Amino acid sequence: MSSEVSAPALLQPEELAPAVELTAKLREQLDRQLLGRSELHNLVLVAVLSRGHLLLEGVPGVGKTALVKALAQLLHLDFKRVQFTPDLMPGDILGAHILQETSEGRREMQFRPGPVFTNLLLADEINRASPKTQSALLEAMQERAVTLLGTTRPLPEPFFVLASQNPIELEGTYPLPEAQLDRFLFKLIVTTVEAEVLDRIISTRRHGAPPAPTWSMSADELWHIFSIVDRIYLPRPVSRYISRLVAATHADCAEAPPPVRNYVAHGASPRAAIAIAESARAFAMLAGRPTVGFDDIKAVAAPVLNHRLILNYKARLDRVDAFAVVRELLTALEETGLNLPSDMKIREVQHG
Amino acid sequence: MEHPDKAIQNFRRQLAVLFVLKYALPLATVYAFVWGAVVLVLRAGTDVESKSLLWGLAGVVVCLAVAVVLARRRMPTETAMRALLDGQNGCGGLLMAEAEQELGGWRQRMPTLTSPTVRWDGRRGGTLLALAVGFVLVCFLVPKGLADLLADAPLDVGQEITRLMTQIALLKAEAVLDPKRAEALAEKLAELHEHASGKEPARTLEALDHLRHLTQEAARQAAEQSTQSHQRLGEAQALAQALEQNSDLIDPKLAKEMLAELAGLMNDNGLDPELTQALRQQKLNAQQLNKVAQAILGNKSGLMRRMGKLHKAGLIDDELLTRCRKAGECDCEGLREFLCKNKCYSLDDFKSKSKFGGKGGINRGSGAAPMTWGKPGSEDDFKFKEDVLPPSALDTLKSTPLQEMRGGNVVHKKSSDPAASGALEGAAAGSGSANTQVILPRHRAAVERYFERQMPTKKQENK
Repeated sequence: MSSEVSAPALLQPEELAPAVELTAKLREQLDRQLLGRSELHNLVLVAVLSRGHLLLEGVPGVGKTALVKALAQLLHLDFKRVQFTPDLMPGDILGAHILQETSEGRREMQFRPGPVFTNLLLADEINRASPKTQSALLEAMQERAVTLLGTTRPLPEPFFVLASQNPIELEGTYPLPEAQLDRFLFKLIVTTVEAEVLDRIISTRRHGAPPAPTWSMSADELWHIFSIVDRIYLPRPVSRYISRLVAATHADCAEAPPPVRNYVAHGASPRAAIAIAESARAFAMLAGRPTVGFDDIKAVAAPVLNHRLILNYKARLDRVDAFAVVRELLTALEETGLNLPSDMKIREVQHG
Repeated sequence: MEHPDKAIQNFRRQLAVLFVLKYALPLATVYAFVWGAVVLVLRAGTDVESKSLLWGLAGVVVCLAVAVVLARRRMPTETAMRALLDGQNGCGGLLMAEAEQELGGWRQRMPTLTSPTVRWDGRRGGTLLALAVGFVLVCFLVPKGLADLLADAPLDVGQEITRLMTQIALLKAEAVLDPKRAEALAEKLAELHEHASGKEPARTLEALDHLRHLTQEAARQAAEQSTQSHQRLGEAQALAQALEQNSDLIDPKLAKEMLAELAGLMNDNGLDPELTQALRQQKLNAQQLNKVAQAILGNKSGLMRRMGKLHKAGLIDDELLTRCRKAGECDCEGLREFLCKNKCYSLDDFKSKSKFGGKGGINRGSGAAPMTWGKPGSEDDFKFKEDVLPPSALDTLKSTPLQEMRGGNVVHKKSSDPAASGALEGAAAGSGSANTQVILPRHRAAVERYFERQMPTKKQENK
């Protein structure tokens, strides 16, 4: 039996259109709730539609928690919030067995589920918890299940972890281990908004409270969109480009550009290639296309790869960050695989 | 709007042309330079017509064929070209998916396709090819006369030929060379002069060197023979003058032997029959001896004139001329003085005593030159010069009688005496003492320092 998945028929416009319309409404609602962040909202939706976990990094007050709460509200999903602190224990997240007296008068251990048993888990300031507690999420994020006392309990579908962390006030924090970081589909940097947006926020909202959503997505609609995303077609040249891109993040790869050779200690894992492929599908769907193009890959490459590249000390000394390395990588790597000689150049097609 | 397949074909054609050009230019450039060089060489070296060399154009076709093969191997796949068109035209993967899936309703939504343009900077290659083509044209258009001129450039060896001709004529005139041999050499020389060409200068020059060597070798052998003859005449002159002027100092037996020797040395050369007869009978008076001496002098002059001619013609060098001149010198005054001091009773005795230089050695009798021990010599900075002895000298060496020469009595040392040299100097044999190495003064300080140094203790060694 072949393990390869046979390519389903290409989505037809009439099949794709309802899903695109729904996602457009969802994005519009998000944009209404949080002003001036359409690009961020797009990527957050990509992560959600790819059924991936999301790590939001930003200084306090930029709207990370508000974004997650708005998303939960719009998606009609069960939402739990856990404020990670240094004394938080794994049991506080996963749940615990407690001794209970039954109706027959016997005593037995009963499982009390923790907040992880939800659809949307907001792990606020995840880097403040101890590594032991952070590791409690590993199985939940990858397997979408929790194993306690030898019993594996599946988490409700869909399950997302939307974590936030603060890049400042690093005292008393525990940087996320690489294994945990690798489980996040995207790491998005939430920056402050422009002055005009701030003006709109203060002038239109009392106490900064967002307006109530006028529309929300049902669970069926969400599952329908998931099925549509699954049918977005990934052409072979694009999948080859993803493979070459991820391989080129390793310094010993022949196609690795000089910034990768100089600054990257460890490249991205195969999970990164899967993440790029899945998120590119969602990105293409949001753009209303049934196929993934090279531009979709380029759009999601930075959020996927930035937290997966482990840079060396030279990068720190030269003040080079992962985004710069990914940018250089995307510029240097020719996506089509034409492999033209260096003295031959393609003149860009000018579109009217 | 271009149909996707048509757009891909257009792009493929464009790429193929550029690839063929990219590979054909350097190949054709190299070939053109090689072809031009071959054309030039063939036109200069042979009588090939220029038109027949135009067959070299076939090489250009071969270059083109090789370029086509290389271009085909280098051409990207259709998938890659499709991907490029997709990316360039913003198709978002639709064009790529078309190769694998049925687009259905998306075909109408496909954006307008435009083939991208590929730029290739071929200025450098084009310039080099233009230069190469120019070189080929020059090679074809260069006048044939110029090529012939290059081919038949005469070699100017007239001066050398003239000199050799003169030398051969001289050798023939002086009877050094057999007339037939001389004529053969002259003919060869003339032939060489006729065929001397700039095309193969090495051959001509090598032949000239060979002829020069032949003439010089003949002249050298003649000069060696003349030197030997001059030496014999010198000896004969010395005998004649000794008999004429110092008859009072010569023992009658010695005089008789000297006359016999003189007769052997003269060997009837340049003497009138009366003198020859008297010489054979060993009955020469003072007047006849004088005539013999005059005849010898005449012979010597003749020999030296001959040597002078050979030297002037450059056939023998100064050293050989000087050697010949010195070989025939006769110190009559010295001979008289010698005869006064040394009483000789036989010719062998006379020869033995007269051949040694010096004034009598360290005690009595003839001996070598006085030995000096003040400043010892060294072989450093001197090298032995290897020299091949002339045939005449080899003859002399073979006929030389062995003679003993001893400066004094050999004194044998007793075995118990200390060695007087080498490492065992000062060590008395049989004394039971070990040999003591001689320490040179310049090594003495180092040896003292060695024995005076602090020996490490055991503790220090353990540390």
